Amino acid sequence: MDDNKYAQVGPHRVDIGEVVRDPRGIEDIVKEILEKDFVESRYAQFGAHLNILPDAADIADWDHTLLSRYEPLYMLSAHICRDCTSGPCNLNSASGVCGLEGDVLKAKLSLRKACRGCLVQMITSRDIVNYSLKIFGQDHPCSMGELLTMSDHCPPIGTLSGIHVKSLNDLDRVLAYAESQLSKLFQASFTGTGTVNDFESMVMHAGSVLLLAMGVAEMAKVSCFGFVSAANHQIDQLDNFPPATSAVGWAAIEKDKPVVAFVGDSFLPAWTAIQHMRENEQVEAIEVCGVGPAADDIIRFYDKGRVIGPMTRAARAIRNGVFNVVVAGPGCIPQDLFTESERANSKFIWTGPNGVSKLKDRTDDSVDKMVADLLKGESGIWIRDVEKAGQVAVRLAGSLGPNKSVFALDDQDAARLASKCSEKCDLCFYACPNSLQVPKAVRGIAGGDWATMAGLEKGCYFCGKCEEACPENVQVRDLVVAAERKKAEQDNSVMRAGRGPLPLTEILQSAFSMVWGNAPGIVVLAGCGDADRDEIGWLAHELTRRNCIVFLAGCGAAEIARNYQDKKGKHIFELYTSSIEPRSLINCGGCAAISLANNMYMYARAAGGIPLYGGIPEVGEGSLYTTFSLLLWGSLPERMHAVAAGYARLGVRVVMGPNSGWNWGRYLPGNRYDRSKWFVYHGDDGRKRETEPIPEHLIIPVETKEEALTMIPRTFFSTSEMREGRAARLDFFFELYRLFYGELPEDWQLFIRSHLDIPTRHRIRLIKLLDEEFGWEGAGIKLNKARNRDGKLLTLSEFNTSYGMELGRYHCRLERLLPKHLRKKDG
Amino acid sequence: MAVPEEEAVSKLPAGRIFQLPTDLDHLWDGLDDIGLGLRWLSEVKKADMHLELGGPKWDYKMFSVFYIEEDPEKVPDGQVKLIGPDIPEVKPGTSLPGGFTIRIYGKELTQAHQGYVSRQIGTALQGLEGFMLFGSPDSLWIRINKDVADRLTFAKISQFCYATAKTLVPQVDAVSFFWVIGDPEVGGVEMVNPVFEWASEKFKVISAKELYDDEDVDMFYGCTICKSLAPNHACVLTPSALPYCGIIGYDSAKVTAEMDPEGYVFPIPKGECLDPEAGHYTGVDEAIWEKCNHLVNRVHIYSSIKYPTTNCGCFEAASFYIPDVDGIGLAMRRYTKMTPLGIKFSTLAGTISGGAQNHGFKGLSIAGMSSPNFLRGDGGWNRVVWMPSDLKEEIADVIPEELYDKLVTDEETVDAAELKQLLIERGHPITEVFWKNGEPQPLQIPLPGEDWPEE
Repeated sequence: MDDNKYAQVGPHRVDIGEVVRDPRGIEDIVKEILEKDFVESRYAQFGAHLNILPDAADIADWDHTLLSRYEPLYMLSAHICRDCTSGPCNLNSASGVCGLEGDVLKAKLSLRKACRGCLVQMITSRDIVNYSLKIFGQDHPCSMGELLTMSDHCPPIGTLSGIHVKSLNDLDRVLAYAESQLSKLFQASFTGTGTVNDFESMVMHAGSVLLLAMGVAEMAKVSCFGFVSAANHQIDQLDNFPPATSAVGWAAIEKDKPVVAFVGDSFLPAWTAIQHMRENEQVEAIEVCGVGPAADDIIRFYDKGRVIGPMTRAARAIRNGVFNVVVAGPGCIPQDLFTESERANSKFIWTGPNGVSKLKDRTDDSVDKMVADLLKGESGIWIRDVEKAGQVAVRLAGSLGPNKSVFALDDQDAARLASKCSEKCDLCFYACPNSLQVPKAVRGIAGGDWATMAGLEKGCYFCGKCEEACPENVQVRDLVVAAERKKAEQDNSVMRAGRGPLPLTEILQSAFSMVWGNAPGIVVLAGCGDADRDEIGWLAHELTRRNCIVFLAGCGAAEIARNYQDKKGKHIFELYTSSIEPRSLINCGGCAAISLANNMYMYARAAGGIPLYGGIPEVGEGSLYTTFSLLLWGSLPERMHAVAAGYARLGVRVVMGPNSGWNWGRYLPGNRYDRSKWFVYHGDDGRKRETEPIPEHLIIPVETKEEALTMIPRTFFSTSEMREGRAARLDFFFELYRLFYGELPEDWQLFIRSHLDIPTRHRIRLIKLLDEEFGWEGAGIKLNKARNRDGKLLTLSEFNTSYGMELGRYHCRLERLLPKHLRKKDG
Repeated sequence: MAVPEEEAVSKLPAGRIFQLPTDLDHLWDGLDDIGLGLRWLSEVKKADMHLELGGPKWDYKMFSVFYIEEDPEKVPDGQVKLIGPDIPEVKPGTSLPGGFTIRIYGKELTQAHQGYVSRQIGTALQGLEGFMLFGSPDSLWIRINKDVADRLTFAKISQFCYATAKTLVPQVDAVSFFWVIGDPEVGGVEMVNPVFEWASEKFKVISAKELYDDEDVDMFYGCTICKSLAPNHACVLTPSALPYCGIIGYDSAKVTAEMDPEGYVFPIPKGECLDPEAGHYTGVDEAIWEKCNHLVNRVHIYSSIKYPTTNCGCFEAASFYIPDVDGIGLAMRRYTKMTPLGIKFSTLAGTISGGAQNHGFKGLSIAGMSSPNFLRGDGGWNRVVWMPSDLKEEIADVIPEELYDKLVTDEETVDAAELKQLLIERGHPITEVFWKNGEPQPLQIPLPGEDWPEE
């Protein structure tokens, strides 16, 4: 019995009861972490405090630490609460019946939004796990790749849950934990009481829970379904892995074959269909396309798969009329895919757990019967069995043969439709949420000019508001699709399929690039493929060519491939390496792989021996002192609201734009003018030390791609930067500011700790400026005295011990993460 | 030794002279149209190449010599002399031999600054837009991209070096540049060769100055660059011991500590030497005790088994004690397979990182393996028994010749019992020097942070 109460960490005999709040039932988990993964020196200095299968409240101390610096700012107009029968209560005039205050309502709504954002992924992960259990059994081993060890083995799962997943049984257990957490959070978003920060802490927890569920899906994909994984390849082979050969765009589809498109979050229908094709030697006979996360997954196990577009454009892709068969399941946003499919004369198979439109549940019918009915003229059916759905899709496509006619309007019909548009009316322009010049484009087509519509097409969300507004009933979206089809032959790009995990050993190779600033920083660029499409490609290129390490995940990756080509016609994935080093562009995979793209887990582990398991605050604290941002671009579904919060909790700065930021209405900005917010605890003596206002924001919106590019360097700064790294990042910052604003950033002097921090090429000029305009003292290439923020003139060595951290010193923001001997004793 | 113009270059064509701005406020004038900084580090593909200087394909050379000149008369400040065509003047796609020298003078500049100043300029040059720089000074490979061909001149490259040196090193008073580009019209390889011979002699003089040992200095240096994440860690730098990351040398550490007293490099007066074989110094013990939060009180710089220095997480390679054969194995970061300890390098790295003193384990840099003091306290190369074949190839020059064939690699075995058998079969010196009666005598390694029993 005693064996379970103690663990051995190096020379230390550790009482498990002191490491977790209640060890009962989890002794084996804690013992495994301490004995197999915990670094002895870390234990000696910091002790251990693990959160195994935690509730939000267990990690709230860290969340509150972040939220006390980055205070929630709401841009929502919500002020009426209708959550209970005593209401509605107008919170503008007074508190609610239950005592609810206005901002707390907004925080609750933020939590509700985050929970809703988790739902589809949670269901998809559950479907994948249940199907895996059914086919492979609960003892089937789980691993993301041979290169990985316990220390880098799917961090999004281990960091939150504390569980080292080894089998499908473990995977089932952690997912069940996530599901129970989501229920608790959802409940709190309706009947919970608390402060704004209590709810925002729960939003962060929802984010962690979502990242875990995504990690579960990714783990199953590699462990059970043959998805490629970088961790099964030698590190020196990763510079072109996977090769940049996966086809993106309409042009890749072979016209003489029937086309099946898989749409939605889950890859399972596609996987069973492709298994069926392989067994029946139909691989060469049928074209397989994907839309949304299914597309990104298909190309990880089937190299003939074509990526057509993001989930946000699924309806529009279907209306192109190229697909003979559409197999769809739930995705991140609601869309009426059946109506679109019917309109485009495609056969529709719905695989979701809940019905769609008028489709009947045919799950129990035989495959033969269903194929026959669809061939006879039924336009769609609902099958809740992925194997049957896959078989029906393949057999149906085989029988239908190649698509004879594409649905899109021809020039004559388009001109006839467009000519209904009245010169005197611009109602569609006013209705368009993106303020697109719809009337001009429509009238252009009437006169034979397709170029204007071709330009507009890129920014159209396909919401149909223009059609609702049109008094002449012009079907604008048909014209949009017709314009898209005109360019279809040129829509021919390549991308790398997702590589899956980021091995610790590979990440170690790039660690020093960050210290010296060879790479200004790491950016995870995720987008849902909407907004003006060119922008995400432009952003990826501008960041990568400036030596950032850029990770991609989700639907945005294919849109990046589509929207950047160099002068010689090379696609962006062909231009940059895929191994982790400065100037690299690394695709981790589909939407769920966003959970893997966060490599800060491993930096913390590698450099500081920071424990991965059950250690969200530890990892978050470690990441806050590195150079890492998440850039979310596009019109983003609620799922990304939770992802942003989950990343932010791990110390990653989130920049979002161009419009979804406004839709979400909640940010975590910093206030550089409030000096009381900018401090850390010093690792030498435990005292508070004022620092530079960095990283300035935790979640911040931007409106344009140029603003995004100048915000990114702002989020890169950290209090533990070395001279070279600070100088390189300032150089990056100044360059972009000069490019887009034509001047220096307004607060540049706040980042200077010594003349050695100033980029070489600007040093002499800026020392002069500090001397002449900011009251510092310096001449030539050297600063002698610095003006502290309190107005005092200090020598550089005084300045370095009162503002910002001395180089190479431990510091933390959460007091309990100080070395043991410096912590305040309880009571 | 004279400047190249005087002797080696006496027969060369006259060339052209450019004068760079020397006033501090104007050092960087005119460089705005070119990307500067390590972010611009790039490879230039053949198809994009406007001009190539040297390179592995050619039997001629491109060289560079950066040196500190003690006679100010020989260093006219800001002067650039160019013999041969300038960048925009050659046809796109041209390959040529050549060389350049940078002469530096400063009243307070000593030869000890040579490494530091060269490194500042050399590193800066890596970050020049459209400029690819590979190789060692006696055999450079430079390519200039077509994109910058109309914006970049040798005078501009010189100006960038000049401005960098003047901005970063306050002791620099004057810098002169000399470029010779062996275009056939001005004399080709035959013209460059005498200058290259002069340069080869100069390299010998420069490298001779760098060769000194730990006994020759009173001061070692420490580095806490990784301490912000590994609070107990500090590296020790001596002329013979590099930090594990391999990114900073002794001379650079020395100058860095001078230039940035608030920085991460600090001086360590070495104190009394208690054990020259193991590299045990009182000054080092005291400094590490202070910098490692009073958790490590004894460090043997040349030892990986007894009292090694603490480890951060970013080491290029590591040594590990293999009890079954009482020997030492080496592995580097990119080696992903098994080691004879039964764990992979990544597990090993994860276990020993974070600032602990792990007896038997030590982070290493690849360059550090060529040090004469490498693992000296453990018995030197005679104690090394195993390494991955890639590493063996990489450091073939460093491994004592007589030992080379006796070292076992991963291609032969990763099993400790088989390893023992192979060592016996090959007559590895460890079987004589360290084993007794043909059997290894495994050490009882104390736990991390604990002391060895008194001998």
